[in-house]
Amino acid sequence: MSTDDVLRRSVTVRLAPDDAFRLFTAGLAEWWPLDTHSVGRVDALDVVLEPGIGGRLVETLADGSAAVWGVVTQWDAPRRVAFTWHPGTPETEGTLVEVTFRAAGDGTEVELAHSGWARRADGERARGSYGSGWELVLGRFAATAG
Amino acid sequence: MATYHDVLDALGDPTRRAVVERLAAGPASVAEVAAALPVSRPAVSQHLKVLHAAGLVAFEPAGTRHLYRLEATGFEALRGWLDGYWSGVLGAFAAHADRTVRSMDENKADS
Repeated sequence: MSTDDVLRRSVTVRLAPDDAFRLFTAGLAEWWPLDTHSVGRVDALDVVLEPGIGGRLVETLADGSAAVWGVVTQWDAPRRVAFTWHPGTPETEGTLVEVTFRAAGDGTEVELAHSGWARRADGERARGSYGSGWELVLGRFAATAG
Repeated sequence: MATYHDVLDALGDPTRRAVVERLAAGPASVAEVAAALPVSRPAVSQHLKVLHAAGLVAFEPAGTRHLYRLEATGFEALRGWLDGYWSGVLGAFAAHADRTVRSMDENKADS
């Protein structure tokens, strides 16, 4: 499962890396598809990515409650931001999302990598056993974020 | 044909996740799964039935019992769903970035 350990997606935008990074982080609420990609769905009001290591990625719901999706683990503006990813689940079951910004032509390539099965306590054991590690973590993630 | 909805539903239950955890260690019979969990054999059978319907578990006869093991189909459905999830996020980002660029271009043209 070596190539399946990390799920990668990328997109190129016409913004400079500085602007792309700022839009992705400080401007998160402007573009994140909250109605489909949140804990509260239609009851989700807002989402904020607090800047800097230790900052939270947190959703505010219509009833005033908050749902923490993850915590920033890397903050290297305007090149990279990484955060744990555990919407609706305990942090110990979190996976990791890394977003990298690279200058490409007159724009920026934004690559998102979702990984983290190896961070589990049994990661070493999971590595050699199909279905026990990454796939199961994905299951936990999807079961709550879906 | 299992869909990610089946998979999400199947893995939404903590006991079923525990069953998957047990099978991740290797194929097992209903009795062996039940021995590893605080759940009765009939309950384990029921959970295995749901996991099988979701494409997460397969079984084969071994003497007088069935041996259950993890099956890739359901996990692949889930993987496909996650691909779509992040594509949706990045697609929304790119669409917004496009709008931002266009409005900057228009502002430039106006000034």
